[in-house]
Amino acid sequence: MLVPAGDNNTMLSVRNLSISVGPSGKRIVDELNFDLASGDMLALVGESGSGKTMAARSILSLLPAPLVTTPDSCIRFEGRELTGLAAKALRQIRGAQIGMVFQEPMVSLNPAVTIGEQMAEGLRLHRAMSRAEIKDRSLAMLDRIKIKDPGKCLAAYPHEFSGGMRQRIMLASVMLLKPRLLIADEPTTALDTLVQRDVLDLMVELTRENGTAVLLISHDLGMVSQYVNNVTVMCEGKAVE
Amino acid sequence: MIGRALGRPGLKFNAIFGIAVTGALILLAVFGPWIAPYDPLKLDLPSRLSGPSPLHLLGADEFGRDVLSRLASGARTSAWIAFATVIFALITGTVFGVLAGFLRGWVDRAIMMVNDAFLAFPGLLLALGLMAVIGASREGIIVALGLAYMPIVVRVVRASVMSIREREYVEASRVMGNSEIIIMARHVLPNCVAPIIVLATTMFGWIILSESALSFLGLGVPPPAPSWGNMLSTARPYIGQAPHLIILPGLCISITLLGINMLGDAVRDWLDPKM
Repeated sequence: MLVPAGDNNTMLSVRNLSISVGPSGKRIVDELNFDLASGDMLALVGESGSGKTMAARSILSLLPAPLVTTPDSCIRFEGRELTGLAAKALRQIRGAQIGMVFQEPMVSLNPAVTIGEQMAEGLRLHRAMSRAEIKDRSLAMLDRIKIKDPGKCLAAYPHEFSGGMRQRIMLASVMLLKPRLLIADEPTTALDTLVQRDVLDLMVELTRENGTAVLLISHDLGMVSQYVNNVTVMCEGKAVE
Repeated sequence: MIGRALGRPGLKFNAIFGIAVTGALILLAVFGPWIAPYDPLKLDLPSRLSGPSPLHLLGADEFGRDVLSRLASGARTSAWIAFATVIFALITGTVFGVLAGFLRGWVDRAIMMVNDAFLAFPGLLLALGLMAVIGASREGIIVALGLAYMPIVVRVVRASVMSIREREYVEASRVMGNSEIIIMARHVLPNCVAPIIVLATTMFGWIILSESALSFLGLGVPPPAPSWGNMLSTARPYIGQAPHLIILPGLCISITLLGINMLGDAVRDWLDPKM
């Protein structure tokens, strides 16, 4: 099945995305197509094991070892083909252009490194900024996400924060770089309902402010529908709706 | 990290004891020759095998050499060998362990193949063989014992790296666009410091004992020069007549080990952000 590429406004365009176990094995994602316009939000919804997470990971070439995208898969990001991109070019896109937030806030911050260091990491890597500038930006961002006493927070270690706060910090450190696209892989699944709302609201606010498009991955259609207009539902590796 | 460790209030007993013993050892190693009342090699045959007396505060050995002087200058040899060997084994072992555990694939297979070959020999036997090749000298002992203990470090580090590399913060840092080398150095290594420190302090003790075993076999610190290990082994035939010759260096080794282990324990606590 060939679907024509999206119009000029399209930032991310995924065509015929198939992921198989090994070069010739079973397909866990089968000919998935979707488009995402810049600044827009799209949700990928499906049950556990429907391949939504792997589809999202393949955008950044983050598939775990035996899984590969098939040769005819096509992932275009701002006119650039992302499949088969060299490691160095890929590193320049990761973080700077496409950010990602993971499911488990309890383990996605390094327990041995301070919050400040972890927030500074991306800026140091992708932007030419002095230490003072980086610190100012981080403080402003922490203030923005309503963390009390940002100065103290920078010197603190992740275990001093609750799950919701950690996810907000994760979000903040990814959004510090103002990426063009944010991939949020079930960002609220590990949190309770009230905190879920807070984190999602914050995510929507931050991405709107910066014109960042969002690819939201979730299994909760009800929750997603409150935020997103475009939904692709996946089941056993296929887009069904 | 160090600043944080020093600025930490409320030192516990293990920290105080560990720092005191390690500090005393370092002082003894540096100033030992000046503290010693006699030349550690000077013979005084009339007082051979004599117990503690005003003339020789801690007695004299089978050649009448002053035990206090020999302990003081042996401290430098033993401490230097043990520290240098631990550092050598830790650095090489950590580098190979992190590479093998993090990169996996053929790098892992190649490193572990060589490592398992090393592990297949009993440590002392391996050190003995290496000593025969390198020659009996201080540097020789350091390299030989270092290589003999390295495989254990590689194993321990590789195991903890393998569990850490699957954590999400490693993935998160990759998503940020970090290169693999930075991920290894900044995110993987700091999280396996605890087992490395525990291993280092334990190894310190093994190495002092291994050095004495090598000396006993005639491949350690060459004879007239004292080390705690060779004092222990040369005193063995006189254990009945002059037990202080065994007890004193033995006591020095035990207290040092206890102190180093407590210090290691304290350092591990300081480096753990959760404490």
